[in-house]
Formats: sequence, structure tokens, C-alpha cells
Amino acid sequence: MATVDVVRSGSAGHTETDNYLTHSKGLLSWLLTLDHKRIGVMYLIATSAAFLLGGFFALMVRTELWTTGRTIMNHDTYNQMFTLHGAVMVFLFIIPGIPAALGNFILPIMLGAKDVAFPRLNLASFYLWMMGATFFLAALSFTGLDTGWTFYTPYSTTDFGTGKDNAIISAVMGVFILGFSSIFTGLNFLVTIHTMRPPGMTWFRMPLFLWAIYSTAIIQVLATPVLAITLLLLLVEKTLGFGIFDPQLGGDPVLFQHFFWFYSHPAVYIMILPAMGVISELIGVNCRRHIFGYRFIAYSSVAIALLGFLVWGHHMFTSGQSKLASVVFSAITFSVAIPSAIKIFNWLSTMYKGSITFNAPFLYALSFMFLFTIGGLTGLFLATLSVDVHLHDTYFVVAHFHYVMVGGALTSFLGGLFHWWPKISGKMYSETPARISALLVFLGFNLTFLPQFVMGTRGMPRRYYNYLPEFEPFHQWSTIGAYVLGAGALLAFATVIHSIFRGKPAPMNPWGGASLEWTCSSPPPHNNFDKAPSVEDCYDYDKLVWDEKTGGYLMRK
Amino acid sequence: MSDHAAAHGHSDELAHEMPVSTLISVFLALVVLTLLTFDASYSISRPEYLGAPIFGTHISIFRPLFAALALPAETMRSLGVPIAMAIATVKAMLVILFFMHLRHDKALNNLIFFFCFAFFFLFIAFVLIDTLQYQGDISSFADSQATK
Amino acid sequence: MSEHAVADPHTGHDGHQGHNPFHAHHFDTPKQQFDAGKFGMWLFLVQEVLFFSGLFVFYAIVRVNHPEIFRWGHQALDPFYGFVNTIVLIFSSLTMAWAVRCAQKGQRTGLIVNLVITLVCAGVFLCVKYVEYSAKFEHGFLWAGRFNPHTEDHAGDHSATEGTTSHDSGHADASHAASAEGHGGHAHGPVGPPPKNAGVFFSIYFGMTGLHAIHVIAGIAAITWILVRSVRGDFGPDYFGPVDYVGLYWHLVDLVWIYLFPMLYLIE
Ligand SMILES: [Cu+2]
Repeated sequence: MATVDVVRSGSAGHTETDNYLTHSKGLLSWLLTLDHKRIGVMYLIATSAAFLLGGFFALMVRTELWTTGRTIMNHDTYNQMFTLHGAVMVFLFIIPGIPAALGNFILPIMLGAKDVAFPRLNLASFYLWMMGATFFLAALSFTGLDTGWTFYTPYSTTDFGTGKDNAIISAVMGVFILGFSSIFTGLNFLVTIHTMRPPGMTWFRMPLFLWAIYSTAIIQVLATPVLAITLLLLLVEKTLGFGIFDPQLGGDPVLFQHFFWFYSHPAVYIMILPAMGVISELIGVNCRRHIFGYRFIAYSSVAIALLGFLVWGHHMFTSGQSKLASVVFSAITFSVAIPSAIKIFNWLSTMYKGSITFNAPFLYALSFMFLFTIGGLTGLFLATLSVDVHLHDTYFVVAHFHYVMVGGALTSFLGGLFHWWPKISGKMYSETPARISALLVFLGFNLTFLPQFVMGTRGMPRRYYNYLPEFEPFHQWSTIGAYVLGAGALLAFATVIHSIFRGKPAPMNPWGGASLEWTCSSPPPHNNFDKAPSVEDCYDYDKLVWDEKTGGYLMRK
Repeated sequence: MSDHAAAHGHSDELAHEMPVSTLISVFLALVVLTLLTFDASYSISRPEYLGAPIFGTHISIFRPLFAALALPAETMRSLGVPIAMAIATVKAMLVILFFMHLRHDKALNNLIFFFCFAFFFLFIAFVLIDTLQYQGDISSFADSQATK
Repeated sequence: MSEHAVADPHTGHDGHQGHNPFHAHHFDTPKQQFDAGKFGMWLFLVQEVLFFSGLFVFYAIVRVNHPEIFRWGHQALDPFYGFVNTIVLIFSSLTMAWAVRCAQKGQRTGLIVNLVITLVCAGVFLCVKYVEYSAKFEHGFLWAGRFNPHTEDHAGDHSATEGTTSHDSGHADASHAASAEGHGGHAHGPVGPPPKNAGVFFSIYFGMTGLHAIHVIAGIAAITWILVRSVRGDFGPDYFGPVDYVGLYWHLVDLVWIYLFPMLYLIE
């Protein structure tokens, strides 16, 4: 290979000298840190633990459904298992997973800032998350939380006179607190992106991941407070009898669903928008082509965030909502498909004629595109009024949102984790097990949820403990798939953890990314940038060249 | 010391200072508008209300207005909410623009604050549209229960 | 913490660092720090507006679908108390805005005096709320689940507790005219039998004013914090962000009340 003139040193000199991991020592230096990178790592550990817990509940649910009737647990335990699975996965893992864990670590560095705007608030958000999680664990110990993650009234406000009341109150308070954790994270990111951009980092030079996080943060700030007030009203309803959702007292139970979904539909985009942001980065870097339709992808993130506020009624087609509202919500729901499709097509166009590297992050990105497209398209079936009446509350719905939540959010979380792991840990993971994990996740996932589409269309209701014998084969395929998926996820985490101890030191820029986080050392120094970085096109990969000596990419002179 | 001067040059740009005269005028306007809310409410709901008794006479803005318009009682009643909300909104705008300095604040801060009310009204409007639609079902069900 | 011990590479070309002890290391200039804080505070207020929105939605649908509940229920509220609290809050908003001005101009005494007046107003507001709430509890005008009005002993009881204050002349004329003319010199209370689900009015009343009162209490905590720092002499023309931010929050509390007052006390 012809020698090319390159810039050998990053902005921070070399790795070993000083980085955020070695900057200070001791447990307290972590627990009281104001460094966004350390907070991000703590979130990463905490949300991954929540994922494993939620995954355990999922496997319990799937194991129970192996046969009709009782397999390993009674129906009460089963009800608690699926409730905890949903609540833990949604509130403790998916919502904070990408924004709070990966976002916290990557966002300020990508932006070229030294930290987020409010480091103390950032740490407070993390401890709010921990508090919320503690309330969840308390709910676990009360045993009896079986409302489903949606806490629908009147079931959740019924006075049972047992430990179930405490479990519900505890879990609702947990979600309330987690909500504020999410609000403050979003607020912090919005302020950071608005006020901390270094000179040269204009809006349209920002990496698309930042656009996605920005759009997510808009939703977090605008929608989450509605969840907070909803849960507060639920609490006063349950403990004092306010009667807001109770028809006996002049309230309106449909109102609860309006309130809940005003948050929880936009919350779906809190889960998927950051995932889309991750995919935009993975596709660009690994295809070594300038991302196609940058502005379209950027604007479509904002469009999804705003349109997402207008469609919540599609969860209520069969729950007493008026026909007029249903028609309006159904019509608007279809329109959300447009910005999502814009993204998919632009990613495909980016891949066209690219020189693709099939490393683990890219395999996860491919899974995302495949699975999210299925998840999105089946969403259109459910948005269709007449079809939804048939499919509502069946396994079709379960499969649909798992294709979006797991196929979308989880695969991109893992993809993003592998992608930025060298930056986070300073170590290279080993590629082969990582690729196998991607394959296992993809195959296991489809094995789990494709049969559920079939079951759903044939009338298998969701959340049921027992079922007709004709569904047994589907359930068994699904359960096998769940274990394969679980093995894949475990392998992914094992690969990452293994690299901490055995991984080779990571170069500054192992993948040839052109955004700013690849211009500081791996792991980054405490202050991210010693001097304000110069900002160039973050999708121009031609300026980078492979360097055999360091095993990474370097900037052309 | 030169540093000090530079810092002062900076501080003038940090935020707008609102003159005391403006602050007090806004306060007085808010008090007057509060009284006006009373006036509107009582002029609508209390036939015997003549106005606030000040200096031996009754002072009212809305009573003579309604008397001149001679609206039917039901129409008057339906005006109660819009008038009260309109006055409250004027008061709110005074607080937002002057006490909260939004008039002199960045365009972005203006944008997000007024933008959030769009979501506020969106929320109210959609839920209201829906509940209005099914209210008939609820009352007819309640009636059928009552006759049983 | 280690954060501040770090040699900040930006210090070299940042003349304000040494000057202002509250300049955080990750901001390039005090201006950037102030703008970030202010934008953050506005976003927090956005969050607050939507937090309150749930109760406004509930108000709207009950108000539109069952106006009779409001026509009956609002008579249990004394507009005089609402009026007093409105004036108290508006006045505290004035002193808060004035406090911000004093902080900007570096007038420490003025800042402290204004903050103290604001705190006193907040305290008065809560006392009036307490009087109102205890009257409601006494007469069973509670939220739907506990709604149990005892109207028989209402007239006598009422003039004993609320009546005395509302007949002290010397307060605002409009409201005096109200209680005098509206109820023929009698203490007010709902007229006629309660309509179906009348308790919902009090669910709304306690929900909205209660949530608002929680915000007032939070405001008191925040203003106290600012007051302590003012006494310490933290604020001046270079650094007054926290006063400004807490001021914004306090004005929002006022703003919510500006709507709650006519919505609950005056609109029939
Ligand atoms: Cu939805």
C-alpha cells in the first residue's frame, strides 16, 4: 500500500496517560461523579441489569406457555411475570437504555462539548432512576403486581385489601419517579444541544444520532409530565378515592386511557427514535459512504416526534372511544409511516454501492432494518379500524410491538454498544462471538415472534395463561425462539465483558467514523477535548485512511 | 482590574433589566383585571349586582354593557367562561411578557413556551371531542339504570 | 470534588474563570452558562405546564359535559378568599420580579427585602388555603370518594368560621359587594340539593389547588435557598442566574393560579 500522509496523534495524545476511567479512583469517585461518561457507564450497567431481569421474566412467561394449563407456575404468578416483564423492560430498560446510557456517553463528545449542560442534574437523573428501580423491586417483594405495565383503571384502582394494593402503589410511584428521571435527561440533552455546540458545529453538521436524541428529548419533556400527572391521579384515586377515573363517582375510565396513551404512544418514539439515530451512524460508518438524504433523516426524526403526539387514540379503538375520535386517530396514524419509511429508504440508499463491512454492529443494523420494517408495516394493519377490532389484544399486537421494541430498540442498543464499546472501554471486543450473537438474536427473535403473528390472526388473546391445544405448536416454537434470543443477548454481553479483561487496546478510530467522538482517544480523556475540536462533515469518510500500525483509521493530512 | 471591567461589559448582556415603573404598572394592571373578572362574573350571574360601590356610586364595566346588549339569559351564561378566560389570558400574558421578561428574552425561549400550549390545547381538544361524542351513551345508560 | 481540581484547558483564554467563583468549568463563558440555565428553566416550565394539563383536561370535560356540577359546587367556595390569594400571589410576583432586578443591579439589601416579602406572601397564601381547606373538611365538601356535605348545620357553622372574615369590611369592594349582595348578607353555601356526582367538583378543586399548593411549597423551598445565598452575597451583576430561574418558576405558580381563580371561584 502506498504511504499516505496522516495525522498520527489525536487531540488527546495517547491513551494510557489520562482518561476518564483512570482520572480518579475509588468507588465514591464513581458514585458522586459529574462526568457524563461515567454517568453513562453507570446507566449502561444499571439498564443492562434491568434488561437481564426483564429478560428473565420473559423467559418465565415463555416457559409457562410451553404447554396448555400449568407448566411451571400458577396463573397468579404468571400474571405477575408478564406485568413485571413489561414494566421493567419499558420503564427501566428501553426508555433509558439508548438515550441515558449510550446518549449520555456519546452525545457531548459527538457534539464537541466538555460535558452536558447540567452535570449535577444528570447525576440526579441517574439516582432518580435508581430510586424508581428500588420502588419496582419493592413492588416485586409485595408480590401481586398484575395490572400489566399499563396500569389500566378500574383494575388498578380497585381496593383489593391485600398486598396487591401496596405492590401497585409502589410500582406506580416507581414509574412516577422514573418519569422525572427521563424528563431531566431530556431537558439536559435539549439544553446541551442548543447551547453547548462549539463553533462550527451547526445544526446540519450534527451527526444524525444527535438529531434523533434531540427529537427524543422533545418528547421526553413534553409527554412524560402527562404520565406523571396520570400516575399521581391514579395514586390519589386509589388511596383517597378522587373519582377521576371511576364512573361510580362521576369519573371516566376511558379518560385514564387517554391520559396514559397521550404519554405512552409518544413514549414508543422515545424508545425507537434513539435507535434510529444509532442505525444512521452504524450504516454510514460501515458502508463507508456519505449518509444519503441527511436532511430528510434529520427532519423525519423531528416529524416523528411531533406526529407521535397526534395518534394516541389508536390504542383505544375498542375501549369505548367514540367513532369520530377513532377515525381521526386512525387516519393520522397512517401518516407516521411516512417519516419512518423515509429513514428506511435513505439507509438503503446509503448502502447502495457502499463498501460494506459486515462487522457485528452492522449485522445488528441490518437486523434492525429488517425487523423494524416488519414491525412498522404490521402497525399499519393495527391502525386500520376494522382490522384492529379483530386483532386488538391478540398476539398479533404482541408480535407487532416486539418487532418494534426488541427488533428495533434492542438490536440497535446492542449494535450501538458494540460500535461504541472500543470508545467506552478502550478495548476491542472479539468479532466472531459478537457476530454470532447478532445472528442468534436475529434468528431467535424471528422464531419467537413470527409464530405470534400467526397465532394472533387466529385469535389467540394476549396475556392469557391458558390456551386452546391448537396453539401449542406455535407457543412452543415461540418459547424455543425466546431461549435462542436470550442466549444471543447473553453472548453479546459476555463478549463485551470478556473484552474488558482480554480485549486488545482499542485504537482511536477502529471503524473509521468521521464524527467527533472518533477524534479523541479511546477511552476519551476526562475533558473530552483539550482544545475545541474543528468540526467537519461527520459523514465524509474519504478523509480517513486505514493505518496498519495502530489498527485503526487516521485522518489524512 | 481590566478583567473586572470586561466582566461588567458582559453582565449587561446577560439579561434584560425591567424598570421598576414597568413592574409596578404591570402589578396594578393585574389588580384591575382581577377586579374586572369579578365584575364580569357578577354582571352575568347576579341580577341584583349593580357594580362595585365606590364613592357612593356603583362602578361596573360589564353590567351596562350587558344591559345595552340585552342578551338572553342563556347566552349571557355561556359568555361567562370565554370572558373569564380571556381576562385571565390577558393577565397571564402580562406576567409572561413582563414579570418573566419573555418580551426581551431569546426567540427560542418564546418559541418553546408558547409551543407547549399547542400541546396543551391539543390534549384538551382531542379528549373533549371524544368525550362529547360518547356522553350521550353514558347518560342514556344512566337513565335506563334509573328506570330499572 | 475532583471536577474542580482539574486544570481546565479552557482557562487560558477565558478571562472570567478566576473572576466568578460560580462559573462552571464546562461552559466557555458566563453568558453561555446563563443562557443554558435559562433555557433549561424554560423547558422545566414547559414540563410544568404539561404536568398541570391533566387536571385542566379533566376540568374541561366535566365543565362541558356537566355544567350543573359547577353551578352548584362553586357556591361552596368563597370568592373573597380567592381574591385575597390572587392579590397576594400577584404581589409576590411583583416582589420576585423586583428581586431579580435587584440581583442584576447588585443591590443586596433590596434583593433580600424583596425575597423576604415574597416568602411572606407565599406563607399568607398557604394560610388562607389552610383556612379554606379546613372549612371544606368541616362541612364534608370533599372529593368524590369522601363527599359528604352536611348542609343542616351549615348556616350556623358557616357564619362562625368563614362568615366573620368575609364580613370584615375594608377589603376589596368588589368582593364585598359580592358577599353582601349575592347572598343577602348571609354566609354563602351551595343552594339546593347537590346534583348527581357533585363531589367531582371537589375532586377538581382539591386536585388543582392541592397540586398548586405543592408547587407553592416547593417555591418556598427554592426562594429560601436563594435567600440564604443572597445573604451570603453570592449574587451580583455577573451572576444572578439562580434568582432569575427561581423567579421564573414562581411566576409560573402565579400564572397557574391566575387561571385557577376564575375557573373555580367565579365561573358558573
Ligand atoms: Cu401507539
